[in-house]
Amino acid sequence: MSNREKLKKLILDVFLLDESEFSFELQRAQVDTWDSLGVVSLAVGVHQTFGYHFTPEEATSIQSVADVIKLLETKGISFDA
Amino acid sequence: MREPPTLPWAEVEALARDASTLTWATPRARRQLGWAGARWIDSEVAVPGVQTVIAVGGGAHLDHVKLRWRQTGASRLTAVPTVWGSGAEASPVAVWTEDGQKRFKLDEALRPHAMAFCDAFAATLSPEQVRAACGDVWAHALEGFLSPLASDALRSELAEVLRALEALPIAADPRWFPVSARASAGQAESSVGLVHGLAHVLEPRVPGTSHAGLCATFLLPVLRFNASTSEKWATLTAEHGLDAAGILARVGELSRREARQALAPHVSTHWKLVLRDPCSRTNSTLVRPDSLSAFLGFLEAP
Repeated sequence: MSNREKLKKLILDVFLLDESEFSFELQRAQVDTWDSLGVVSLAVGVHQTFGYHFTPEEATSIQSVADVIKLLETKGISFDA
Repeated sequence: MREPPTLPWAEVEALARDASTLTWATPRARRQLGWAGARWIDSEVAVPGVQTVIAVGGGAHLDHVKLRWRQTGASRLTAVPTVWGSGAEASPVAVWTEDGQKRFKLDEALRPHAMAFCDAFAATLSPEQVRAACGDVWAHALEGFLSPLASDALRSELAEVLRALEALPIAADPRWFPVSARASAGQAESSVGLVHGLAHVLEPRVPGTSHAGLCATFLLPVLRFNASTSEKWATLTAEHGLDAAGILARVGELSRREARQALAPHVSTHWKLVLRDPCSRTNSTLVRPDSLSAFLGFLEAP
């Protein structure tokens, strides 16, 4: 499974979304379950899936799926298609 | 960890006889205490000149009083648990059931000003109550320790609580009271996890279950699930010098396989609700929709 596919599955699982609700352009404001607890779950899931532990500042600054990709790419995790 | 000061029992008995004190106890606790000269209440009635309310009862009763005692006009609350487990005497949290849903309130104003423990209450507990209560304490300590919201300092304090728990037998031993209070105060500063998510969803939906009993039953399979999906359990227990295998063995004493098997269909039916429970969402490892089959395997395992 590519990192893009892993991230898509993670987002679906953390925020309990249907596949039709997902896109790589998805914004936090569009997702009801991307609340403060969702931020915690996403940080736990990213650590389990990609081995990187968000700092609290990073976790709360993320506002979209694209932000997750951008941040993880700065840590050397590639999301090339 | 922030805990209320512990009053000596003799001091509480004297306080109860003071004219400015009201005692709000469950009927059973009132019969057992039999305090002559105490002013008893059973609702939030306003009483001129009152300074202190003493709440005596189990976790649900203490939470009920924590939400209402200020309406008496008193300025101090002393909480006395009749069973360990909830740690309501030490925490700034109140939990209640409304429309079949568990509701929570976290507010520092809910934390009692003092707590006290009466050893005699331990002797009134049945073996099943003891098993459930001990499971609730272990669940608070372990889920608080593993929580993604726990700081390093809090984890160190909760590791000490876990060491104290390892030394306690699963028995009607009053030494559980203060350890329970510490575990609850600790988890209130981080979070609980999937054990509590399962208990909160199933208790109102499965007749004959209790919060503490469900915590006791689910703790072992949840720890095994967590350990299977992340290295966090192994890493954190090693970092804090805890005996991971020993803890699993102790927790195993609390969880009966037949009880786990009986709950498995309910877990399957309500899994989506479990995933949405706030406690499940702060579990130490991610709980996914497709984690169900693996979790059912841990319910079935010996």
